[in-house]
Amino acid sequence: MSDAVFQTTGLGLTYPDGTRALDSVDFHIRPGEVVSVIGRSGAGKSTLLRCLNGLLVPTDGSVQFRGKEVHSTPEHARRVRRSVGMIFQSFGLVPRVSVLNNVLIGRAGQVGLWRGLFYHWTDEEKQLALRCLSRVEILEQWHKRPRELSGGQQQRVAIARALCQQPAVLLADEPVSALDPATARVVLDHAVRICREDGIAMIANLHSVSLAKEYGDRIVAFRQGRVFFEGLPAELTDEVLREIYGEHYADF
Amino acid sequence: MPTSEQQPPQPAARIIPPQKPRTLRDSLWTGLKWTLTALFLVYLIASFQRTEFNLYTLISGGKDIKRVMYDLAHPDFSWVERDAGGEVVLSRKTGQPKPGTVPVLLDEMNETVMMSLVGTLLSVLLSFPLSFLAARNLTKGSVSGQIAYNSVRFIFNVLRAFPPIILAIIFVFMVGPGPFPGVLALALHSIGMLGKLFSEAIESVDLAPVEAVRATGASNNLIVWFGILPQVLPQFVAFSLYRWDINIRMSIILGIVGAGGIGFLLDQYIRLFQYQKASTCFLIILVAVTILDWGSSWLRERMG
Ligand SMILES: Nc1ncnc2c1ncn2[C@@H]1O[C@H](COP(=O)(O)OP(=O)(O)OP(=O)(O)O)[C@@H](O)[C@H]1O
Ligand SMILES: [Mg+2]
Repeated sequence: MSDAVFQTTGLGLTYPDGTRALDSVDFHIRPGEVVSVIGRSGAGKSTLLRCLNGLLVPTDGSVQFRGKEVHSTPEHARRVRRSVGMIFQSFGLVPRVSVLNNVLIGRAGQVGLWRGLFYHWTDEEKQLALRCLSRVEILEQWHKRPRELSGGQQQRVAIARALCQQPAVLLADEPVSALDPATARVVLDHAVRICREDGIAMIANLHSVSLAKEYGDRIVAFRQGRVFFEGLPAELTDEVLREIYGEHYADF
Repeated sequence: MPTSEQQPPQPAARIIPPQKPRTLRDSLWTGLKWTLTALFLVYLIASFQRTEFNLYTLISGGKDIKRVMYDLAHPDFSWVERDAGGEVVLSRKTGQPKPGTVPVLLDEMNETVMMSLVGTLLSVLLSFPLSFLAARNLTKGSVSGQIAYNSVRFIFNVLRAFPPIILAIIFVFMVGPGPFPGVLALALHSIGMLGKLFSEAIESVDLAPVEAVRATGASNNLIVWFGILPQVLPQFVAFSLYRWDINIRMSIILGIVGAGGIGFLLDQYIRLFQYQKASTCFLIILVAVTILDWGSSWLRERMG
């Protein structure tokens, strides 16, 4: 697995209050691969993503990005974050800042302090941001404020912001849980299509099993902080799903 | 459907809530309430005695105030100073007519407004960076953050604890009378007030955008700049304008202790029994405060 983008071995995380959120997790993702992560609420999916991009420091085991330990130093963790885009359930757009500037904030890890303070972007950066917006088909909204957009549009702007980082990996934490099923597909279509075009690896935490099967090359299921299942979408049988979600699992 | 056959709605059975059990704590609480009420009434009566409240004194004193009332009703609207014979007084230096009450007071009123402007601006510039250190959500999690939080909070509390008038008395003593001690007093007190308001605004921001900016690999400074500042800026502007509004009124009062502006003259006129001039002073203050009040509320609405 030397070509893996992310590779965890024996990853464990205990929150300060004693909650064991992850336990001996061996996980990897290869360049350009799309992995769906499923599991019940509280299984540790969000915690995994936050360990991968260095926002949480694991209590056991290791997390490697391109063969190098993410948490070797805080500075290195920050460097890793620059190459890792992330989108969230609640979009996380900055209010009262135009759509275009929100996308350019994706460059925040790359620009120096003074250019950042004055929102002074180079022409290339502006062109890159506009290209990202047009790829998620929302270019004509570039001048609007986030609250003037629908949820689906806001998430597309968030995708554009992540793309503006020119990342190697896109982490998506329940990216479509706040959207209706039709809009959810539009948003996932954009994200997955662009990742495939650019060879960006993608990890998507999803609550919908059908979306997880449809969009993922591979599925990883968590149960109580451990990897419970890992395999192709076709291998994810109703048997396994009942084990993950409990007896009341009805095909959803 | 024929309505005549319909049954009239049955009256709902009366609901009698189950009796709330009366505990010993309830009885003690009732007793305590009555005791406290009685004690408060006694204290209230004692307060009237201690403050020598007496309607008769008020009414009998009213007779002496006739001349004062007459003067107050006839404000001095002179543009140039005149002597007892009605001749225009000329300045000994320039040979020009000496300015009368109105131009003198307008000039002092202007100084008052300028004091409040400088004082407010200084306090905004200083409390802005400090308020980020006094916000719990930005400082928790590290020892140096905790130290910064607690010390800046403490500074804000101390500054707020001193009323501006006390600060002005101290600064007049230190740097001599004039507008400068007034500016210092306004600025210091306002840093405490604005710092508290600013930091509370920072504490109530939506953390989702902050998290998203952090995830781009941005430095801490830029996380604050991109993730927090756009959320709090409108509130910061509104608080600052409101503070300026308060400081205009405050700087009038500060003049009374010698800290510059129109309040200084108002105090002098009253002490010298020049009630006609004092009346002009009141009118100018009233007009100025009204205009500035309109202006600042118009601005604040615009910002909203
Ligand atoms: N900051 C925290 N402090 C303490 N415990 C936490 C914290 N964040 C999460 N947990 C706990 O860690 C466990 C895993 O949480 P996590 O958010 O990773 O689950 P999840 O799979 O993302 O769930 P969901 O599908 O609801 O988002 C849960 O038991 C949760 O209560
Ligand atoms: Mg989660």
